[in-house]
Amino acid sequence: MARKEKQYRRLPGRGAPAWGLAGTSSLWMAKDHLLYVSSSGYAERYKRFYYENIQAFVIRKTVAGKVVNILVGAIAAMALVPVLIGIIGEMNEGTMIFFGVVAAVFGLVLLGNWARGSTCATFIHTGVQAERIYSIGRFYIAMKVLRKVRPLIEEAQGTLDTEGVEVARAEWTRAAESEKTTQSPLAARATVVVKKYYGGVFHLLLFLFILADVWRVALMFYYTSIVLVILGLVGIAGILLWLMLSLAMHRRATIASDVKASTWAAFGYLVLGQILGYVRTLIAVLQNDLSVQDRAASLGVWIGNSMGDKSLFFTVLPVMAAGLFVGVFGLVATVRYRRRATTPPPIPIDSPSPDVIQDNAD
Amino acid sequence: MADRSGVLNCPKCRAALPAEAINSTTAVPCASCRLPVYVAVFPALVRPEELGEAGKRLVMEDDASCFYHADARAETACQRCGRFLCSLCEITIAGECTCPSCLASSKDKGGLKEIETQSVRYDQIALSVAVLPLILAFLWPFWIVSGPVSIFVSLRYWKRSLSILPVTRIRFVLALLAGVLQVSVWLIAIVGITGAAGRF
Repeated sequence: MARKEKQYRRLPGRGAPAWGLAGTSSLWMAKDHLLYVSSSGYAERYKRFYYENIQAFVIRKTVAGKVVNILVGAIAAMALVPVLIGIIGEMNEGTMIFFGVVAAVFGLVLLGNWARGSTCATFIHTGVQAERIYSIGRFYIAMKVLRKVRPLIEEAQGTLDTEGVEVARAEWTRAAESEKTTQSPLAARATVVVKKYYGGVFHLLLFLFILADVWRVALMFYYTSIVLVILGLVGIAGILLWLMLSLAMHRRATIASDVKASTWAAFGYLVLGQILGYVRTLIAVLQNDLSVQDRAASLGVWIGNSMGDKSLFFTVLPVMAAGLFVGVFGLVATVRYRRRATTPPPIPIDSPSPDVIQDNAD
Repeated sequence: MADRSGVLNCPKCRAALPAEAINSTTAVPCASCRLPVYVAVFPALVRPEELGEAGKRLVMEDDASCFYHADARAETACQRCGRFLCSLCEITIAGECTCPSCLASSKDKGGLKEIETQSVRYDQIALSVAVLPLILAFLWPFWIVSGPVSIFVSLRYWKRSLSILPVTRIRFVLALLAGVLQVSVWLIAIVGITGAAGRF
């Protein structure tokens, strides 16, 4: 008996759909259409894109991969510091192995993430929709999918030869230009307002605050003072709030991708630091150890104790290393961005002043 | 989505993507947000928009008219219900010509795979109900409920179409086995307890 031909063949890539971490999504290829399946585990939703209707694949590179690299790299660096100290000086062998394993695991994750290349967001455009395909999250997978799908789409639609591409480009430029010139005065003003000038001051201060907090943590090892503890509590709350403001600016202004990546890395550093600090505080409370007063400093003391070496210089290093890494990297990226954006973009000459708009409206 | 002029916008900042991005061999930075964008364009983008065909008017009195438009000439018949249809009402799906009402009823009853937009994975539900209390051993009192429920779901939906993708019934089989195991444990426990109580 002839084997039944499969209607759908799976395309590379797997990812979580937009509406939950628990679900998965996948893209399938049929004779005349692509099927995008997003599944919650208990229900599946289908979206079909017929080859004859697909207008374009738009693949935008994202900074998510870089953020993960920075975070995982910071953790690997944090774990590597005690190992290096152990190699140079003296340290409990078991502790060294523990930190070595942690560094190796995170190092492998870093290597794997780096090897998989840049992350991306992929969209399929048709005449009536632009659907994000969450299963395609890596640029090389997007290229692989495109290589498989392109012949089928071209079979259904024909090919866009070099001349066709040139015509499309000319049409595109003309359409974009005409759209600009036919914009209403109000729309022109709205464009100027939406593309807000931003010099990067929020980000600059954020990374300076992080660096300042790193030094405060260092100070906590030399001086046990209630003032420093209160300053730390208020400071962390303030930095987190400032971080939220900085992240909000990502939507309102055009910011360089490395600054964005650094901001997300700072978010990860602060959140991870807080979580680890809380865990340590919880353990300290359970052990009735009330000698630690600051979460970040207590983390350092904890690491120091586990190393069997209470030298303040050694204990502070892992915490400082991650903070310094994120702070300095972010600061350099922001300064570079500020240099590029020293002058606000000029307001188009043909865009009318608010008074003119008012006159026109009257 | 391309706007009316056929220009694609950057998915991030919504600014028009540069024309150089069209079928370029590498990713080109967006003029506004500077993030690299790769655009593969197909002829459908530049193809003029196709307008739907309106029904043709009746020419002669004895011409068959459309079931839905009395003044439009019938061009074809629905392959499901046999109603005459004009070119406006004719809907072709997977090579089959149907009328709007047959299409709507197919969507409700799930008779036409080509228009299904969602499906419930009863096999996954049955398996989760059966296996989760097994893995989380402290949930053993729930076995008296989870066992029969997983057996019921597996048998009740055994014949139901689970997905338009290729899936096997293996999850149902596993759910049945796990369900039977849970019920058996409870039965043995009940028999044992009642037996012991009888001896006393």
